[in-house]
Amino acid sequence: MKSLKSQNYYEILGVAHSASPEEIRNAYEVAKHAFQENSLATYSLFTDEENQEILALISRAYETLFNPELRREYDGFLESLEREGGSPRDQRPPLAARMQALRTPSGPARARPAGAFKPPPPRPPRDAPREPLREAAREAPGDGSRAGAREAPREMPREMPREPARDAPREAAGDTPRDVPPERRPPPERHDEAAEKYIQTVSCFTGQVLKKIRQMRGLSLEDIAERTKIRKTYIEYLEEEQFTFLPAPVYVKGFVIMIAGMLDLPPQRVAEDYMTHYKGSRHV
Amino acid sequence: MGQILRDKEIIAIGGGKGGVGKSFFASNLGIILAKAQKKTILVDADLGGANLHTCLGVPAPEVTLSDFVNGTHVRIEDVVLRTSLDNLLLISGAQDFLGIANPKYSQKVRLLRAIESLNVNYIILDLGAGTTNNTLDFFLLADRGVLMVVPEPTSIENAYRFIKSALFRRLKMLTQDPQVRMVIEKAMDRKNDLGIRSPVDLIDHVHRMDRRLGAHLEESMAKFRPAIVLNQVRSLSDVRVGYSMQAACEKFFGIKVDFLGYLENDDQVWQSIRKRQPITLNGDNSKSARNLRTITYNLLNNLQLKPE
Repeated sequence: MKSLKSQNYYEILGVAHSASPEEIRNAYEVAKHAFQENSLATYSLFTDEENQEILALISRAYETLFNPELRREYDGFLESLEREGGSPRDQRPPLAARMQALRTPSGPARARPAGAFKPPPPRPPRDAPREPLREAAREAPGDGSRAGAREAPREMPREMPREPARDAPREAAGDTPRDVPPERRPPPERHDEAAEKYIQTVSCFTGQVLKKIRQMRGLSLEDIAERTKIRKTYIEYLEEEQFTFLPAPVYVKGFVIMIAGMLDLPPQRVAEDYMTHYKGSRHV
Repeated sequence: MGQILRDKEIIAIGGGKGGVGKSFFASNLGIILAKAQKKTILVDADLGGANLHTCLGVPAPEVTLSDFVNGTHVRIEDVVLRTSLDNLLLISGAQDFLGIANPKYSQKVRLLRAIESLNVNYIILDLGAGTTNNTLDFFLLADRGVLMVVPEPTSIENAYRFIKSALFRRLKMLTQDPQVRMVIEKAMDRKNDLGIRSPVDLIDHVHRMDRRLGAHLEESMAKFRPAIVLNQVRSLSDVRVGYSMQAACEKFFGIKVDFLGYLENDDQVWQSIRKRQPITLNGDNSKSARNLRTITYNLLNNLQLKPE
């Protein structure tokens, strides 16, 4: 049994992965009732604060799983975690924290409200070599058989763990200021003028362009992988536009958005450019 | 444990608090099983405050469990009593303390083995109140453990205390490592200095001390799956307490709990207790009799109530 914060949304609601929307709704009602104020069943086990925190998690879990589109995205996210898996449990940051890192591309550096999840600790180096090529090839787009691959929902992983329910207190929900538009974010400390100039001239954000900007920003592949939790090999394929080795478009778009955030580029524009480029060359 | 036998099932009925209906439920469960042609033996394991015979309308017995536990020459068959039902047997508990209220672990195992040697399908242990090691051991030795709870703060608190004590005792039995045992003992105290709030925290802590042992404890914890039955339910919101307790146990203890069902508050129950006649014998169509059949069905078929 994992601690609450490392449970996924299905575990938080206590439903099976195959649960129907009705079962999810019932589980949500039960959980909401169990952890509400003055609940007979919980007052002796949890403090009010803990109850609030659990309630916020429950709301978020429900909102994600009850919405078919969000649920599909979330399942994709879980799958990608599983593929990535293998690190022992005590070295792995809690799931919630990892998702937090996904929501806020520059995650750990930002200020967090009290009660928010702690940023994930740095990933330990892996001892077992992976087989990115074969794995990635299996996930290559074009088979069209996977549910998530058919249509690319807008705003993929950035949107994934949605805002908590209105009645759930923001503090407890571990909400981060992700709604701050990029232009109002404080500029990076050392703004390379050359890089800025170069960005002005870019007409289409291709893999090559992203690579160049990354290098101008002085960031290594490892830096990006560490921060975004995207596998290094995927970032590499993305930059080299090795499209056949990349997963379904929906994930690629999510990756691009996260990488754009890291490079301090407008995520939407970059994603649009890249995806157009990507789709255009897919039939080659 | 539980590997001793496979063609018999031991069902333990506990609950922490007194007066929540353990003996009432145990005796009626026994009757339902016996009527369904299952050979069943009821064992009053409330060592010190036995009264199961009263619930069954059997006169105060002359031989009891203590005769078997204390006397080396007494066979288990000698302390088995007949009841008004052919398929239902009874072993009455000790009605006085006489040093039996706290038998050694080995004595308890010997007792259960002896009971298992009898020709029965089901063994129902009616446990005493409280969380003495005695009660916990019988609960843990059983194949199924059922907690009786009434939807009231004190009863729920006691049920949680019972679950926690049973869980920690189970975990403690898995290791001889003195350091880990000390951690488990410390964790029992809510205000321990290790920052361990819940069993989930405890497993994490042990995991950091010894990864293999941590995994072992985690595995054992996952297998600990008590059931609850709500008694004296007066409203739909009382029923919801059962689901809420499930959710709370999952989050706090990290264990799954089966909610087998509930017993509606029923005047006929009160009357049947007064008459010293089990409800399932004198009123087959009462609310409670129906409730009891549902609970029994769920218990035997590994099912549980689902929220509508």
